[in-house]
Amino acid sequence: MLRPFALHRPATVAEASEILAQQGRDAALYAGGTELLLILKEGLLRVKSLVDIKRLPGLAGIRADNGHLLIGAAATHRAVEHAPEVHARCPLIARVARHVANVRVRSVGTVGGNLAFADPHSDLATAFLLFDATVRLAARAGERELALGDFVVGPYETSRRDEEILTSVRLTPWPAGTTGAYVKYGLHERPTLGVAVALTVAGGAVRGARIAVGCVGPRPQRLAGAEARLGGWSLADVERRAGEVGAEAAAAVDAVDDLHGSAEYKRDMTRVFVRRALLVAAARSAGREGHERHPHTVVV
Amino acid sequence: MRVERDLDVAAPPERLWAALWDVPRMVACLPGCAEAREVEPQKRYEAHMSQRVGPISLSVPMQVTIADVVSPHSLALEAKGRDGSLGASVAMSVRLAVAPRDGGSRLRVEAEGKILGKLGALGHGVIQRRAEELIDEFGLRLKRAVEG
Repeated sequence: MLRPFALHRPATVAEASEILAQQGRDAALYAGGTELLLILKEGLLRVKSLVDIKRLPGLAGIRADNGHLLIGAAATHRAVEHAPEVHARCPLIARVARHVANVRVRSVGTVGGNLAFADPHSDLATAFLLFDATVRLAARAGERELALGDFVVGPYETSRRDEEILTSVRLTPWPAGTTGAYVKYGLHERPTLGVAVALTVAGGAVRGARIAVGCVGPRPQRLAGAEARLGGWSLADVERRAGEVGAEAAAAVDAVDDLHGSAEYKRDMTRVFVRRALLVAAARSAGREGHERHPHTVVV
Repeated sequence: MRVERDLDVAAPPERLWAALWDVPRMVACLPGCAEAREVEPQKRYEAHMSQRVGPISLSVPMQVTIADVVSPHSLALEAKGRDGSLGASVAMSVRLAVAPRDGGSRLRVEAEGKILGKLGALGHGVIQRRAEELIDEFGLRLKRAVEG
């Protein structure tokens, strides 16, 4: 049951921050509400007021910014899926957005809400890590920018201060010659595991690799050791030896038990899915689409 | 969830053992613990525990029963409580053992706990991590308090 609350509709970010500063934890930010309403209805969160920021001017914009891609925090998953700027600069993100949860969530759920709620079983933060994402936080006192890896502290926890509002996320598009893939597995509404990989290939060899794993640990992780292993490999090497990288990723990943499975299970799934994701990326890099199909698995 | 820790303290076992029964000192060592009081010495205590997981606050009045004491070596306690507004029940069993070690002492902590209710659906992983952080912080503060 939803308890009564006061609804604030501030006109500016500064005004929203003012309300948050005054009310502290008695107020919660509200944009799409897809996560917030669940915990409000369950009675897990009790607040006196909601601060609706989804109509704040400029907060839902998606645009190119000095070579980067800037996604406003109130942009919905559906807007990300369809935005020409996203297709042009970070096409993997448009494809990931198309497979977030279900169509009802995608129509109203926002990028900022997804990141700020920091549910460990989420797609966006994992995929964003491959684009060296930074988030912008605004308050009355000013703004600050943080790497996404520093913003997400743990399950449902971020370094956002009470009076701050997440206003945008900035992605750095990949260098030329980079192809990526996001592979997720899950039996439930939320993914059990999500693996994002990208390979930058020049002169027939891997010059840079990016691997991020989500849902397995308390927060999504880049796996630098596994990434480094791919350096200098040819695409044929990747196709032959992707299993070694999967094993390295499984050894390095921070895994925890939860309702989706034990840490041991998730570690082993990391091994399997890092390999699969690398095979998809390597095939795409070689100009081949199409991949093996597996149950309960989405490949984008 | 289950957490086990060994904590080396540069203080004699007697001093560490005494600290475990010093209620105000224990309250200061346990993050989120407040208003603890002795109901019956070395048998029953009450304490209020508050914890946050992201946006969710848990606030539980706990009844603590000392189940077993082998003075001055070990004690076992059971703690139970319920957060009425969240509908979450917390039950914990904790065993603390003090032994001499390298001129100082070692405290072994074995804690096992359950959180029932909707909060439990947040996932075991979240709660396990939080419990580990809590006990590590307890260890640090206790060490500082007893050694200082």
